[in-house]
Amino acid sequence: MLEKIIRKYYNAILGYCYHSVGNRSAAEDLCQDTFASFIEHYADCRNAGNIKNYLYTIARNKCTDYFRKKTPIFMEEVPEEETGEHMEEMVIVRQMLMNLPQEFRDAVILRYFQNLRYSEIAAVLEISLSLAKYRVKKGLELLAAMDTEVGDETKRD
Amino acid sequence: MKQREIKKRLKKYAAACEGILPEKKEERIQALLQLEPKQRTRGTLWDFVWEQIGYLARYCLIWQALWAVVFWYLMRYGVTDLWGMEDGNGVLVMVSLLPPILVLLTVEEITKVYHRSMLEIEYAAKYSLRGAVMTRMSVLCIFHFLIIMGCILLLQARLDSGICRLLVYGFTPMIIMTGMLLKLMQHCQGDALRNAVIGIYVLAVLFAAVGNTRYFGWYRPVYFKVWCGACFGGILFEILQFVRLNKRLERVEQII
Repeated sequence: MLEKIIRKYYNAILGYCYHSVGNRSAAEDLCQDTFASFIEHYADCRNAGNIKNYLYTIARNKCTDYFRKKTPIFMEEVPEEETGEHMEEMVIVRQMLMNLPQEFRDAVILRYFQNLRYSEIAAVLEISLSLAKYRVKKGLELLAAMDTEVGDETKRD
Repeated sequence: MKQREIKKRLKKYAAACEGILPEKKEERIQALLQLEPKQRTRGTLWDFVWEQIGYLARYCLIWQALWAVVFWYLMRYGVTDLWGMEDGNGVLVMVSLLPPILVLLTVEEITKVYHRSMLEIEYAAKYSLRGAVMTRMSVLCIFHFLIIMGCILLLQARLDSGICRLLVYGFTPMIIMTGMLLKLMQHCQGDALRNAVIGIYVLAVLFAAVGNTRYFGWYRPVYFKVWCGACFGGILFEILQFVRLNKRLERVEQII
């Protein structure tokens, strides 16, 4: 059963960690830590929510710890297969994402990268449903504002 | 407009990132599987049942105690006129309507227990989903039964009236409502389940109110046999739904 759980959610948690910290090797370590914590404590869980949300919650805490411990180096990678103009676009999106405050970034990542429902986002972030919706909306607004700024700077250059 | 464009770009970026796979994923998974999970001894059947009792939150017991106090207070001071008069069925109406409130008060706990995904972890870690749900439900039912039985026995001693009558009027709506709850549990869970149970209780109150009018007079002694029939039918219905729920959970377990 444990192996089934790990295999089922490994890529999703890795993806979340990757989008959160923007560094592949750190994301892999955080993903590993997440599952290690899960294995250590899962027998004691009582009404902890479903496994997926529970794992995302652990991963979020791990990512928060990561940011507390060290200054992250963003912009380290973009997907390898992307090249040229497309790559530049990817770099911009990543940069904007990393410039978002963490609470909004988490909400946006969970919504648009992990495809979670608002209720699931609320459960993972341990906030109310309305706050989850607000954070996603606000995150998009901030991203739109950043995009406008980037566009203006490009024109000036 | 701008936000829609941002959403598109985010989705595009997410799609591009989907190809990112961990290096040495298999090795990493194997390393995780080597970690020793905290050992949990399953213990005896009694340990299992005792643990399931522990899952029922403390507030359940508080509600049950509060219910017993309210029941006793209403029987002693709230409803004074007894059978004999055309509209003097206050005690019977209260006896039949108060027990389903217990289901209503503790339905929150039942919906929490019966959230399949809620139990996924516990199931994975320890016991079977079916065993846990059915045991917790049974424990709650036994608690309810003992409390209602105790209250009715005390009431009977005070009123000096037929125990059979009180038991039938007291348990029939409760049995039917529990049967409905078991039926609903096969179709919905969480908030939907709780709301549906509240709806059923409101209907039960309406039926009791209408039934106690002079026009219907369902609480008259002449209808007692009908109540007995309803009680018997309710028990059969409840057993049937219990078995069906059990089978359904067995299928859910296989899916998990």
